[in-house]
Amino acid sequence: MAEETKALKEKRPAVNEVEVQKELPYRMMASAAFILVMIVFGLPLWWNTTKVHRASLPHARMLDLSSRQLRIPVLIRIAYPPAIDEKWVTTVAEVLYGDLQDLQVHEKLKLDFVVDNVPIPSAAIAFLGSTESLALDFVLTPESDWGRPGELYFGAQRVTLVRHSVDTEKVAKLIQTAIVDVVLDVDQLKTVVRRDLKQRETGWELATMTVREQQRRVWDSAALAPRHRVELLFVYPDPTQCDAQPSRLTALLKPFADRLAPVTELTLQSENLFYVDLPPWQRRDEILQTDVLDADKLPLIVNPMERYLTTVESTAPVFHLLVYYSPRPLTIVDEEGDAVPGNAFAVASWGGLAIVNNCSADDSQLAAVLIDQLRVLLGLGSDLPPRSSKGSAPLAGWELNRLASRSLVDSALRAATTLRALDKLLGEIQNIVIGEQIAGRIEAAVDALEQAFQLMKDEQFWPAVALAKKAAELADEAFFDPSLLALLYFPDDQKYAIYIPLFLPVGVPVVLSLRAVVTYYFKRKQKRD
Amino acid sequence: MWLTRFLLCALLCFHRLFVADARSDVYSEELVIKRLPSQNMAAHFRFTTTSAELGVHYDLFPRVIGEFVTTYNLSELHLSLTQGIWRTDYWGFAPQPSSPSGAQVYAWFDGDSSSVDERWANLVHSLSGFFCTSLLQIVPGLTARPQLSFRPAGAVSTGIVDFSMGRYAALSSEPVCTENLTPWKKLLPCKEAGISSLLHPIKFYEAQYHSLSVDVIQLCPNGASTCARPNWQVSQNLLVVTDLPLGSKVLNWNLRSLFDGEIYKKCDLAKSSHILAEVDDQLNPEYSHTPDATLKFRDGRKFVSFDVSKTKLPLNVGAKYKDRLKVKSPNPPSISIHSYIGGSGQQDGQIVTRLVNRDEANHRAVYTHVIPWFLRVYYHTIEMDCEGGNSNAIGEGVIQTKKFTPAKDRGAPYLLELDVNLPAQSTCHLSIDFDKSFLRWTEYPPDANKGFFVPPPSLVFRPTDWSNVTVLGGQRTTTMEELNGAVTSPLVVMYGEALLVSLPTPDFSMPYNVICLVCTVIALCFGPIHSLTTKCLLLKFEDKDAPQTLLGKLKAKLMKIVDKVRRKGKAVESADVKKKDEVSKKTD
Repeated sequence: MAEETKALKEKRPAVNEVEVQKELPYRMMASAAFILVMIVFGLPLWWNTTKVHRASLPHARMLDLSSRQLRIPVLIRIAYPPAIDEKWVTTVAEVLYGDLQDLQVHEKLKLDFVVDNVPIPSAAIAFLGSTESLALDFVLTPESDWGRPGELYFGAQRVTLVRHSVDTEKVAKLIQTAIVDVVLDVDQLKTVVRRDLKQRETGWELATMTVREQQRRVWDSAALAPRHRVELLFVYPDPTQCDAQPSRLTALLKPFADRLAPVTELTLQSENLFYVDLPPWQRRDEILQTDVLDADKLPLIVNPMERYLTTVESTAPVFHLLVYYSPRPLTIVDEEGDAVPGNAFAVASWGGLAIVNNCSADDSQLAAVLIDQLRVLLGLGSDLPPRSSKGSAPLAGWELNRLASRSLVDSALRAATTLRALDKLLGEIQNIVIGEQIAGRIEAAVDALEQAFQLMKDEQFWPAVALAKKAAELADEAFFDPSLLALLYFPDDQKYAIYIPLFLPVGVPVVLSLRAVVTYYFKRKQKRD
Repeated sequence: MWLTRFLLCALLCFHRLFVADARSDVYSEELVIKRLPSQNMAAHFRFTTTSAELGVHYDLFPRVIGEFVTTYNLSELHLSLTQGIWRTDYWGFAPQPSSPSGAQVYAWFDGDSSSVDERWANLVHSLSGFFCTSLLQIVPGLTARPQLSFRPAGAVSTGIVDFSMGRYAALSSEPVCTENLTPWKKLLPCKEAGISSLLHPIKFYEAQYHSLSVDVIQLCPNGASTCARPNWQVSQNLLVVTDLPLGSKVLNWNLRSLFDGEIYKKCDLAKSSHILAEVDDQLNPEYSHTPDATLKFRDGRKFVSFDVSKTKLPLNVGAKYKDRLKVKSPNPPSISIHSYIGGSGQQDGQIVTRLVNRDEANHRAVYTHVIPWFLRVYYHTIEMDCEGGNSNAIGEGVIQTKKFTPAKDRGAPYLLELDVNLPAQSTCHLSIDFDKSFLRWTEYPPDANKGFFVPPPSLVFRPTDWSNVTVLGGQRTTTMEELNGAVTSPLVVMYGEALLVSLPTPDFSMPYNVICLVCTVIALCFGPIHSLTTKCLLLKFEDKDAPQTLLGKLKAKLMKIVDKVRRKGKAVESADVKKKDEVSKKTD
């Protein structure tokens, strides 16, 4: 018996070896067929059913925009009367140009200055006419015609008057100071760039700043939006004493808003709030003989008033300007106990409060106070250098220029940053859907921004401002579109839970047979060799 | 130059300021308190603000509402939020404008008809945000375009109603609470003075029925249907029905007991500010503040009116009763509507509405029902059977006009509008069959077994007997105006019950079961085929020496391993021996 099995055992390998050798190539071909079907049909099917829809985006252009340097063309025009020698003016212009060339703003921002000197008669036409470029106009005024204190006078329009003196260096220095500190405010532009690039000030930098500079950082903490809502709220704590009159304040503020329109669009609305009173932080001041509101109590006023404010039908930032019709005299006093001029205060990126005493307000005076508040909120205030004065205007031409240059920097950098952020986000989070509409917006934003850069190169400043604003808006719209989040919360484990059962029972045998095929192939190769 | 321009402008404005009226907007407020036939107390607040112009400056008119109107180019807007159901059989006709349980929004738009859907969607989002409601699911799946009912209540700019400009939606599952009352109160010009100082949420939300609404309509002088410059009117209604004092059985009431407050301060902005109490003679009440009160009569009804602006403050109007509470059996008004779900099982069902006309005369009425798409209704099964007293009137043709809009899955609901004739002294049953549809597993709410709400049907008709009307006044007029002779809107809208339908609820572990099943099936099908085609089948001989039991097999395997290890050890030993040998040889 045992011998019989032994004989069988000995016999078996011979038979099988032959069979296997005959069969093996066919088996391997079958395995290869399975592998082929899996690769040709299975994997594309898996890929197509699990992939997130992404319309094609101009990735390279999006990245390229954020690496570009912003170059703003600045045209400086110096007008001179016939009394002043042309050669002298040319020397001033050359010195000025040389000084300005050395001006370092930021690695991301460069100001391309062009200095031009024009004799008075032709300058009048150039200065009064509209221009596409960022024009900073200066008029050299002879000593005899000056008649003002100081050496610089910032006019109500674009023009700055410069007092003439014999020293070319001195005049060039005056004009340079006017440009760097006031008319362009290069320091402020630097802050704007750093804010947009999210570059923080170091502790050391903050420590060396003056109080005034630190305050400016607070005021300019928010970027200038392409549009703002201005809500005027007339607060009447007791309508029996003070009742609302049909208000014309919005109409009075309209010219100011119209003038700002090329930079930011202000939409004005007003409403009355009755039986609403300020929280009781007022105290009686014996020296001033009135009720007073201390400056340090002002933060406590804002929050309680906030609950009476209603939402607006807009996504634009809102400035709430409250006008409080006080039934009894009420004065805001500063830390020293002096009455605050205008009897009003403003809160950065929130709005402000103005107090009207004895229910009677001169609308034009009130409008002036509100415009002052808006100027502060929009960052229009400026520190004049010593020995200079300023014309009175709600919004001077040079102030608009300066705001526009900030708006251009803000919009262009923000649009570029948003596009780069979007590109990065898409790389990091695979679940973000990009629909055709969003892709269209991104494309339009890229186009607009590229065009804006081109316009800046062509010294077309104002059209570039408009396009950069458009680009920033489009980029923001694309970035904050809710459709991006459509699949964000679809967890990966669910995806795998659904697809793995389909592919695990198929995938494991196929992978094993792949190994078999490979080893078979190499063995045969070895044998042949 | 700028300064001069400003001064000029300011001068002009001052000129205008003195020429113009002191107040451009008109605000009036009233509170009607009434004992309902069932002895519950009903309180109806109505605040109306009218403005000639919406746009830049808002005097008394709520700015947010004005912005909704101007942003979405609305011609009319109605929003109501209601907790509980108005029991028509016990309480009489609902005060107008009435509202169904849950939320109801409808709006009529002006301007471009192609953008209406988009504007409606944005409006619903805005309303949701402002009133803290969750209305978003009504777009687009629950939005209907009614033709016979919910027509503009005010003036229309073109004079003709274009049905493509109207949108209607109701959401019965929407709960109402203080977070909705707070923004609603914010719309009032007098928030803490006058009648609005009685708006304390605690009393409202422990009441049996509570409803608040905002209706924005356009009004033309003399009630014309169209005019060049219509006035905008926003009326805010709040209706509360208190519980019966079953414990104390004391019928006495006053403002403090009803609303937990009194009026300490009058609203000086209101053109009229009145508290009206309807006198129920049969119970002999005595009203407080009688010297300040005036009596008003209308259609045989008697009202005590208190002018808040002229009465001594604080004001706490009330009434004392000699009788005690006697719970009464219902005395239903001439027409009533009730709806319910018929049928059983998870597959199909029937929506039945019972319309009762107890009047001596036939009544023409418009029946409207918005049915969500997940109930697949059959048009051919619409049936109306009437039975009752006057047999002559019963028979064919009770449904005069049928308007039926089919639904789109997840896109639009069914809309059924019937112009029906209700025969005198009859009970009609209106029924329509439906199949329940299967929803996607993500479309079920967390409490899937609770069921799905179907908004209640509504019935619009013209009552003959106005004594059934609980509170006078309507969309366009206040109670006070009607007491002073104004003509009310002749239509009454009433609602049936919101329906709760349980749809077949899936087993929510289903996806995982499916995964397991698919996995098994694929493994079973693919595995053998793959093995059979890619592996060689070899003949295997049974080794009789080999152990047969599991334990035996394991033991054999273990022995094999031990054997291997031992052999290895031996090999090492022998190698050592060999090495030693070699070493010894070398030393030799």
